[in-house]
Amino acid sequence: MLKCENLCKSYGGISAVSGVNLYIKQGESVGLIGSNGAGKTSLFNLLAGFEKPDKGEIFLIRGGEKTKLNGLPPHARIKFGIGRTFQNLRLFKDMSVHENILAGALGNGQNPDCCLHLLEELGLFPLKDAKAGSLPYGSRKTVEIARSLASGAKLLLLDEPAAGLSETEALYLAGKLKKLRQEKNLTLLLIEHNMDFICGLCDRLYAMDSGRIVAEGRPRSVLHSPAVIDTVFGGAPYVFA
Amino acid sequence: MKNKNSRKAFRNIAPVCLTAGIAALVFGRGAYGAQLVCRMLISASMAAGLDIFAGLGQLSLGHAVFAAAGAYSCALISARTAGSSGIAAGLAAGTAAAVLLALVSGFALLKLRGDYLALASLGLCETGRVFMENTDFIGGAAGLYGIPKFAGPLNTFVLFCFCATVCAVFNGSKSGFISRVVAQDEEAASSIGIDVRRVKIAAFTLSACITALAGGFYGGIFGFISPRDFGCARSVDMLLAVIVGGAGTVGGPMLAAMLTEAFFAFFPSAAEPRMIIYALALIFLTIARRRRVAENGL
Repeated sequence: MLKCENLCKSYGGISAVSGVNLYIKQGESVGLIGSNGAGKTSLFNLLAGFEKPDKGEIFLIRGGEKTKLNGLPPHARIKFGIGRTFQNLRLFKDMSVHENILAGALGNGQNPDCCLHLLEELGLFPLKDAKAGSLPYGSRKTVEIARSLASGAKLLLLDEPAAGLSETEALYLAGKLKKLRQEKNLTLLLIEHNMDFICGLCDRLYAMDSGRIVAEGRPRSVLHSPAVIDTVFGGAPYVFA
Repeated sequence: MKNKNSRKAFRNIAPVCLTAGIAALVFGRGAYGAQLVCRMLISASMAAGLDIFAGLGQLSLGHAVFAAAGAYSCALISARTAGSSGIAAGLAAGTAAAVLLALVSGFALLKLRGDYLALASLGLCETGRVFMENTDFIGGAAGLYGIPKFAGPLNTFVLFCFCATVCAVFNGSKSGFISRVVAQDEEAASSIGIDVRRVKIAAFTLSACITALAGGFYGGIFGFISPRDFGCARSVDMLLAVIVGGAGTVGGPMLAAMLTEAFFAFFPSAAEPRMIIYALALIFLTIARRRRVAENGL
């Protein structure tokens, strides 16, 4: 569904993303791991159109048709079904939950009727009139995902969806995402530091360090690879909970 | 949702229209009273115009230039074409000139936001003033005379109600909702498919259009306009009304503009140090609303 070839991005001479090749198949759930500053969010910004790559190409492949996404701004990428959430939540905090989701639908010309259905599906219906800024952190994360889905996202880029959530909340969110993925045939690309969460949700992982992909494959094999143990876990192998 | 927003928008303007109507009836007698009412209602209409753009969370200090475009175009045409058709043609031409100016300037200005946009728009305002002062065709620094005095309490009240209604309809519409979304967070809005730049240019243009229409009426009060009427002080007047009245509320800025105009009419000695009074008012407002300012900006 999405393919990147030799993607590069530097900020003032510091290379944030360097020669990244990545592909995601339709319906797949792919995780992106790495220590802080590895270049994960920079890569997300390139994929979502918030930054322009210095070099390399991003393609969307649908039904054998290859569309080049380079140069398309974020609002144009959502027309191709690429939606995102943010590491630091960016809800319209003075608006109600319903209005946030409605904004997603209206922003991309979707049918506003889908909002009520999404509210129910994600368990947000009782909160629909509450101001988004007043919600607990876990609910705000769900609202951001719902808003992106309302805008018609088919490939969802989730930036640390489980960050700041309790173990129970993270489990609940993982369950919801699995269900949504099946029901809506979603493709997921997520950045996460919670390895149990990401391993429970993803089919494949990419590990990044210093802007480069250092490992790729099935979650457990990536987590046990020497490069990941060295760069992500500081030399000690990861022990699952 | 649309009906709820529309009802809220109309609830906001109804009391202000009523107040304006009462003010027009009470003060609109006699030459001075009629002029005062016209000035109050025209200032309020200009503030309503700026409020559409301010509702996007952006501040402009250049809107006086749109009022000038409306005023000068209307003055030039209505002075040469007798009767109401000349005035109508002048108002239409003024609005069209402002739309054109907003589209051209907006294309460059709206790449900026926040303080940078406010400063760049101030540059637009100053450019307009220098242009007016140095163009003989429009009277230069001496201004334009011989404009038909068509503005009276009744037609400026109609203008006031028209501007208020346009703003209320806009606020209650899908476009108004999208504008509020953009005001909350531009990047998040962009991530859900909103073309933020297009929304800004559209709101800027509509805002300029209303300001220019009100500007067109301004020349019809005294039969004379000069670059002094459309300098930075005019932009500051409008902006202060929007900040005091509450950006994006329509009714608030209109009421604030009317009260400011009335205040300086009843206390003319305060008109000279008005910039000191504005500065003090802004400091007071910032202190009074410090929590809100800290969280959301002005």
